[in-house]
Amino acid sequence: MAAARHLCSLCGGPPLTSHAGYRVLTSIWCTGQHETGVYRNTKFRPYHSGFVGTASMARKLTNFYTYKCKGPIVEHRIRSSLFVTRQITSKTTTVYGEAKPNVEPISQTSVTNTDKNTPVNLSDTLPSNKTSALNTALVNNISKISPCPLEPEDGNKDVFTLDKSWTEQKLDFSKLPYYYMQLGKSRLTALVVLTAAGGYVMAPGDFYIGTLLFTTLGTFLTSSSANAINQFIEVPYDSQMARTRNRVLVQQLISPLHAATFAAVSGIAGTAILALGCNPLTAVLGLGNLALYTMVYTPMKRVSILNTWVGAVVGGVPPLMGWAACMGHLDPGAWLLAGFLYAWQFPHFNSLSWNLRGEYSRGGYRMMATTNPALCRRVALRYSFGIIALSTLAPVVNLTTWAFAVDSLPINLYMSWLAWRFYKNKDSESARRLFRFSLLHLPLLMLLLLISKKKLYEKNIDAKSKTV
Amino acid sequence: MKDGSDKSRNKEHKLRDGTTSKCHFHRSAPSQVQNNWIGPPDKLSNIRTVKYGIPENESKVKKEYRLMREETDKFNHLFWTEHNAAFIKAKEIFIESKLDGSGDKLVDEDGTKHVLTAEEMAEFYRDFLNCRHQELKDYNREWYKRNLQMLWPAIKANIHSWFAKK
Repeated sequence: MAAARHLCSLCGGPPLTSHAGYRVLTSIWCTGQHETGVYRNTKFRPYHSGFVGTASMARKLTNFYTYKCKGPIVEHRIRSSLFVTRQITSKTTTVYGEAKPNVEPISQTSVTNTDKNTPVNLSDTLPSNKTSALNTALVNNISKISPCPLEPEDGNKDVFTLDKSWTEQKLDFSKLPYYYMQLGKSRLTALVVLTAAGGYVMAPGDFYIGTLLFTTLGTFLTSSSANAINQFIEVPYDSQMARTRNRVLVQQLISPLHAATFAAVSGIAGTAILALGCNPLTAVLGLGNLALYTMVYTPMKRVSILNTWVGAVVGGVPPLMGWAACMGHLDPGAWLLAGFLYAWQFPHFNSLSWNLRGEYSRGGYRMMATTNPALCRRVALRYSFGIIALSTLAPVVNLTTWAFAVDSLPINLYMSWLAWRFYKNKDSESARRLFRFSLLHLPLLMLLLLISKKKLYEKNIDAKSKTV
Repeated sequence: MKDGSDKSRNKEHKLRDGTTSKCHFHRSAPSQVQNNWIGPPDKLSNIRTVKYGIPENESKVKKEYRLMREETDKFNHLFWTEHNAAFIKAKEIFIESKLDGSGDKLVDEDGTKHVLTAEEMAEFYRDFLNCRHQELKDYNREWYKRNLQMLWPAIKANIHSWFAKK
């Protein structure tokens, strides 16, 4: 029978068939009643099919284990749980996660208990031998804590995770492009290239497609090089964190020398392209940024929380590069663009790091989220407001028209609101929301900057006045 | 003595049981292999064990590089084993002390487990980082040094094997 398959492997009891409200997936005792979720390994799909309303809802299970299910809530005594680990054995699969401190039931219907405030005790519903088995199972799980918590995957798809057994080291040439892309952190590099191209386009100089292409290619190569060096020097640290455990160097899919060579070649090529295809200033900025990232930011991650500020500067340089490629020098508009990127890094990174605090702590990373959580949230909020302020400055430095100050308000205000919620709630859900939106916010902001670019507007005005 | 081909059949590796507290690095089968074999991440240190192949006519240069890599792997493994164990232990002590303070038992009568909020755990994460600051700093410096020092022998070994093939 299908239901038998879905018995809770911890207490052996049957699942609840319906419940509602937000629930922290992983707190198996957060119900009091033995509604427990037993989840499979990487997909976090519950065995109890009734636990989540639909399969599609199960698929939407977020990384940080909150979801909305259908049906009436039965229990509402929630204890917050610590994110411990997932220990997968054939019998017990328990997942622990951070709970929202105040979780309220959304709807309450057809509860077996008459009084909604009476907590349903686990022991009431279980036979006594099962209770002690539960106790034992819980206590045993604490002692079996593995240092590798199984967490959501990295952004890089798990295309080439090695089997959990020994594999011969053989360079797979067909996969080499994928390896290089991962080494260079292609998604991050793409964003960097976008901002550099944005810097070029926003500059009021003449537009040459060739120079833009050189800028793009040069930035792409130098960014890839910087990321490759970063991965090269962080191998043991990356192997500690679940997010980064599947990187090519951690898995030894290519040798360290190979990665270092890739970094050297792309770094030199990128800088040369910037110097010859654009101008020396761009190349100096690119090379300087590479040095800043690899030789200042990366070591600083172990030493002081100031690394985040350095990292924000690293993020702010690409628009400067693009501007310099167009104009040959830097103007206030360039610095404002850099300012946008600099300020954006804080809500982006602080929210990302919030949910990785435990791992950062164990891995020896000194991040605000770990050492000074209040500061982390404050800074994210502060710089979200800062972006609004910078947006009003954009027309003042003749970067954009006044339309930009107005039409950037919605996205800036929304991000500030998410940052405010993050500041107030201090939980993983709001951190995740802020992070996700920041990924959307940056391209949108760039688009708005582009369409409100001042010179474009002035050119149109001139054209119109001429035809009149 | 098993050779490399046996390994391909022998998929079940001892590292997966995770029940031993011994140094997993030495638990790998001591057979001579031609190529490098990459193992799963160690349960305690998370470092992947690598069994370096020893070809028949291994040159001095290549041997030097191989020994250097083995040495570095061992160094990493030992550090992280100790560090992770310290982390787990410190975490348990912290949780228990907190729960003792508040009068709760670790596991309640009704089977619900008391756990700490993220805020309280943040205190632990911060303190742990600060306690281990010096060890981590020393390890980091040592790791950077070793990592960079390995580059030149790697280049020599690779050039040597490239010429040897010709």
